[in-house]
Amino acid sequence: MRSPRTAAALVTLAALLVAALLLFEVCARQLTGAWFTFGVHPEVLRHLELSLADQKRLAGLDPAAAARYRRRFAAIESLLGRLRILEYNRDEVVGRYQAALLIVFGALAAAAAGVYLAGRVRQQGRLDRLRGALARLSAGEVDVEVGERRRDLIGRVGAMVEETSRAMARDRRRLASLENLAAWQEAARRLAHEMRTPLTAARLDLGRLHGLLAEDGDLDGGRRGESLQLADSVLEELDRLGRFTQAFTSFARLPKPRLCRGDLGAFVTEFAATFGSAWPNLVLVAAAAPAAPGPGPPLPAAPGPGPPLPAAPPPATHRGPPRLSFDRDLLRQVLVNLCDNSSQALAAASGGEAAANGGAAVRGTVTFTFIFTLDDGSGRGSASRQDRTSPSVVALEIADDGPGIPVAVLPRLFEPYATTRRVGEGMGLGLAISRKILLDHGGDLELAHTSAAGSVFRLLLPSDQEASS
Amino acid sequence: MTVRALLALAPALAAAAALARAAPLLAERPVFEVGADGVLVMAAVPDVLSNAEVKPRLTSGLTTSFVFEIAATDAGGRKLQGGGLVEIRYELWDEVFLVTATGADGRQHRDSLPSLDRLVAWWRGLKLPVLAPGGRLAAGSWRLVLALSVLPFSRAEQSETQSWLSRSVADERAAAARAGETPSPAAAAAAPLSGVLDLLVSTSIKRRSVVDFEWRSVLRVRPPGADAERRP
Repeated sequence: MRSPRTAAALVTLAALLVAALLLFEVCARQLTGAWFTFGVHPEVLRHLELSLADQKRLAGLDPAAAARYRRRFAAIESLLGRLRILEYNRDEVVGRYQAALLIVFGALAAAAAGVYLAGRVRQQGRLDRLRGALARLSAGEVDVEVGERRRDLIGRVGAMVEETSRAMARDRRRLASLENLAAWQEAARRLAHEMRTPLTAARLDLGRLHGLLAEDGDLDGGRRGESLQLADSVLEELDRLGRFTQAFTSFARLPKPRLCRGDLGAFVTEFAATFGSAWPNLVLVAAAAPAAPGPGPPLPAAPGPGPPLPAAPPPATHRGPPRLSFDRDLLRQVLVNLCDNSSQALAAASGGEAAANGGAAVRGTVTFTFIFTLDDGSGRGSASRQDRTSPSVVALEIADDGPGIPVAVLPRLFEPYATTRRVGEGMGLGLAISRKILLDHGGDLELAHTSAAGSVFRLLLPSDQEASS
Repeated sequence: MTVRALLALAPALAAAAALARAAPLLAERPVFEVGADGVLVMAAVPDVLSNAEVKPRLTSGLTTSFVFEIAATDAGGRKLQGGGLVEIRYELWDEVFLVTATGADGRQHRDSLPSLDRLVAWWRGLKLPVLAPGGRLAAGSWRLVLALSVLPFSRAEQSETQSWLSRSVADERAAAARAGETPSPAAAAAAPLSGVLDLLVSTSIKRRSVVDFEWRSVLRVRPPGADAERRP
């Protein structure tokens, strides 16, 4: 279905075409209508009159053929009469031609003026929209839509405004996430600090108690053994508490990434090889990245709280991951966290299944795939390299074929202490720490897809500029 | 006298010359009388045939039409309109003037006159009913305004020439097509517009009058039984 703008353009074009054809026809008549001028030329008329006289004379000389000369006379007389009428109306005929020419010229000029004015009005409207978008942008509004789809100068400026707006929106989201995580980190730091002192004191006291019990000669062997066992049990619980405190500390004291330029593809391949046997129920696969150049499809929107995520379309084109700057240790920690989660989720889901298989372990697969895109990570993509103002992004997708993530967890997936595990089995800090690491790289971590067939996490890293710290 | 003064006087002089030329005709006036059947008859029409604009038209071979239009207004403002038509055509083969006079009563009078002098004499003696009010003119004074337009050809000749012109253009295009000439793309696209232009051209052929005359007169109509008289 054609848009009204296209229809108006077609009507204008048709009107101009008709006017041009009419103009051509009128001009052609004027130029090729010489017969008119010659036909009413006085010489022609005079010779026709002479011819009339000749026919009459011939009829007198040849009475037998008088009827024929009479017919010829009548024909010439008729023609002469018509030409005289034309001659009499010469000014009117010429005037009519000129009027037609004037009308056509006028129509053509009016159509041209109309097209010009319509273009000006349309351009003014586009400029007004652009001005409004810039005003909204300067007022701090984000996700500004200019609605320009044409690729001329105004369209390109509009695209830049939209990209700037999206970049601002993305930065705001990152900032909000970082602020949120910073608050959690501060809470974790205080908690760890408050726990560490009494925990240390309790450990020391328990050590002394253990020594006293061992040296106490008044206790019989049975009572001593029971007391020592009790003290060991308390120490074990204190150790577990210590590990939790250490987790808090790790989260609170996440180091800033030390960026080094490197080959992310080689890093991922190395990771898959090194950690291939770290999770007995997982097979790690680093998918080969085709070297076809060019931008890939825009990434789907980042997940937000709410309903289950739609399945993301598979990437149409890939390209070998470019060299970019990242902290190998921190990025390794992210991959370990994600693989940990996949492994534990698979183990939890396959417990019953393994029992049904006679105790044989069920193994899953984690696949690493690169998507190179010019997108800024907002999920909208950008039209061309020329219009791009934000850095291009390398996305590394980590897909597993596990049971997926429960819908109830999705809204708080990346928040600290959000976990599906039972109490005591995990702090729920893995994804929060991983996202913090990616945000510190100037990238992000998002859930691209989850269903009963598996989950896909996407690591976004800026590729053509140094990651912001 | 300076050139500028002469130029300033030129329009006035031209008007005076035109008035002087028309003076004989303007001095003469047709005679009007009411017949026994109540029809207003025009007689003694001034000799417009000898007019310099009209005379050459008489022998052109075309039918020169003399269209009379009369308006009669009585003292009470009652207005009656009528007219008549005289067509003169010179038959070039037989060299005679064929005349047809059609009165307001619908009657036609045809004649064939061998020379211009006889034609002028016929014109002088012409009595043409110009007002058939469907009854008698009421007694009283009537102001008469008679207008005469001399048209160079008849309506039939006008229509015939219009259709001939359209036909000629169409024949020209058809002949080009028969000759195998391929029209240019622009000409082919503009072909539907040609009909519009043909119509424009053919309708530009009009019967514009060669010259116009006008006479004013007062007619006193006596009560039935008495004769009407004209008072200039």
